[in-house]
This record gives sequence, structure tokens and C-alpha cells, in this order.
Amino acid sequence: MAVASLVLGIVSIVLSFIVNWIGAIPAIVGIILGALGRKDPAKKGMATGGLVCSIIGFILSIILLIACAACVSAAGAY
Amino acid sequence: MLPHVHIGNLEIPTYGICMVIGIMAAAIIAIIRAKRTGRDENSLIVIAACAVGLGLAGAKILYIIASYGLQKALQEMSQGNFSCFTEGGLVFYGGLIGGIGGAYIGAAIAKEKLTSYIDAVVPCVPLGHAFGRLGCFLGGCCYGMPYEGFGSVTFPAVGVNHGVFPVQLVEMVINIGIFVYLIHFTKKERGKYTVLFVYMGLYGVSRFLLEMLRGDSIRGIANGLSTSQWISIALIIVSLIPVITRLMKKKGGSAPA
Repeated sequence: MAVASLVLGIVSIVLSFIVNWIGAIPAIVGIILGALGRKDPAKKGMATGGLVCSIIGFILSIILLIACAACVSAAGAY
Repeated sequence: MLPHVHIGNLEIPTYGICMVIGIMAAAIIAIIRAKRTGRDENSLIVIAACAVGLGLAGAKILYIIASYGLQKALQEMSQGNFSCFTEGGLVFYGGLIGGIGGAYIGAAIAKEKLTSYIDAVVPCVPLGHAFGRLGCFLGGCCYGMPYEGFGSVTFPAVGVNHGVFPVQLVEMVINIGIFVYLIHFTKKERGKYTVLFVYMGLYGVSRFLLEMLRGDSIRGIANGLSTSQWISIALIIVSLIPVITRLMKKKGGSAPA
């Protein structure tokens, strides 16, 4: 889990620069795996690294995606 | 109004910055609160990640349904056009529904009971939402009805050159007020889902009233009420369930044999 989290964290950072919103998906999976990996004391360091990378990837992915073009309570046609 | 911040050639939307600050602040405070009560921080991170992920997805899906219409959105996606995902905004109520579902899934993944974490997490939701409303104010969306009195604001960058009511800031202050109240409320041991019901009731009532002061774009009106007002009514009814159940139990218990 720790290794998978680290890999997903790095992938999410890379994806956030290419197609930002898609990067959020591996980032969230990476955060979950990193947090679960931290429960194992032997792999806590790597899992923490994965968690941090995934959080950075998540921030980079969503910060550019969410523009308040219309964050309406419910814009709509009905 | 400050819709974008420029760092070199990069144009970063302030709404995105506020959202990230809100999510992070809410998550950090929830983790601190969970640790204080002896809960596992890693399990809380799993619950928070699932709640945020599905919350954002829910907010986007409800926005797509409300603004494009489900049929049109599905038709565009079947033709390989995913612009409805990358353009436009979010709907808070979709986020709330998705977030609650995500929290349940997160608790199942972490093999924890969600009820053990509700008191730590729920008060932080309005804090994150308050930052979101600050982002709305800076971005120039979700503005109020035309108003020229004290505190009126204009958003020339989005074509609002007349004074409007700063409803975003009012909602931000209300959300901070709900956050402070819920922090105080959870100091005492309460029932399993009490804090969630209290939050839904408080926010439902305030949002229902604030909708009357909104003046932005098309409001999704159905039978004289906006979509968010209908959802607010549903939230208020749900939040009253425990009160009604308790009253009925009391009545049943005090009824003569």
C-alpha cells in the first residue's frame, strides 16, 4: 500500500500538469492507500511520503480546475 | 473582487485557492479533534479523502444536471465531449450528499464506525464551506439581489455594474457561526447522529432564507422556489425526524394505560 500510494502520488502530480482534473483521481486513491499504509509501523515512512505526494497532487489537480464560473446554488433550465 | 491571482504566466482562480484552503483547514481541524478524543488519525484521513472525493464529484454532477440537464450531458459525453466536467462550477448540496455517501464508504474501507467520527468531522464542514463562499465573493459569482444600501458591492468583471447585496459574505459569516456553535455543541456527549441533524437543520433554514436574497443568473425555479430551497426543505424535514421521534416516544410513554 505504501509503494502504491507513493506511485499514485507521483502520477497525480505529473497528471495535474497535463490534464489537471484527472490527476485528482489517483491523488485521492493515493491519499487513502497512504493513510492505510501508515497503520503499518514498518512502512510508515514511505506511506507518509505517498500521502504527502498525493495531497500535493490533489491540490495541484483541483486548484486550477475549480473556477467560480458558475458555482451557483442551482443554475438550471428547469 | 479578485477572480484570479497571477504567478508568472500562470492564472490561478481565487475560488480554487479558497476551496483548497477550506478543505485543508476543515481536514486539519477534524484530525486534531479526532486525535483529542482518541480516534485514529489515519482512519479519519481515509474517511475525509473519500468524503472530499465523492463530495466534489457530487457537487459537479448536480451542477451538470442543473445547468445542462442529464439527457443533454449524457448525449455530449457519449459523443466524447467531456467539457461539461471541466467547465462551470459546483453545487454545494450535491457536495453535501456526495460527501455523506463518501464518508460512509471511507469508514467501511478504514473498518471503522462512522458514528465514532461524526462529532469530529461535521462541525468542520461549515468551516470549509465558509472559505468556499469567500471564493464566490472574490470570483464574483453567487451574488445577491440588486441593493444600493450599506455594504452593497459591484462585480464589473462579470458584468454586474449595479450595486448588489453581498450575500456571499453573509453566508460566510453564518457558516462560521454554525462552525463555532457546533464546536461548542459537541463538547457534550450527544446522540449518535445529533450533530449531523443539528447542522442540516441550521444550514437548511439559513440557506432557505438566503436564497431569497440571491440575484445571480437562472435560479432553477420550480413551483416558486429555487432548487436549493427545495433541498433545504428536505434537509429541515430530515433534521426534524429525531425531534418528532422523541416527542412521539414521550407521548407514547406518558399516555395512560
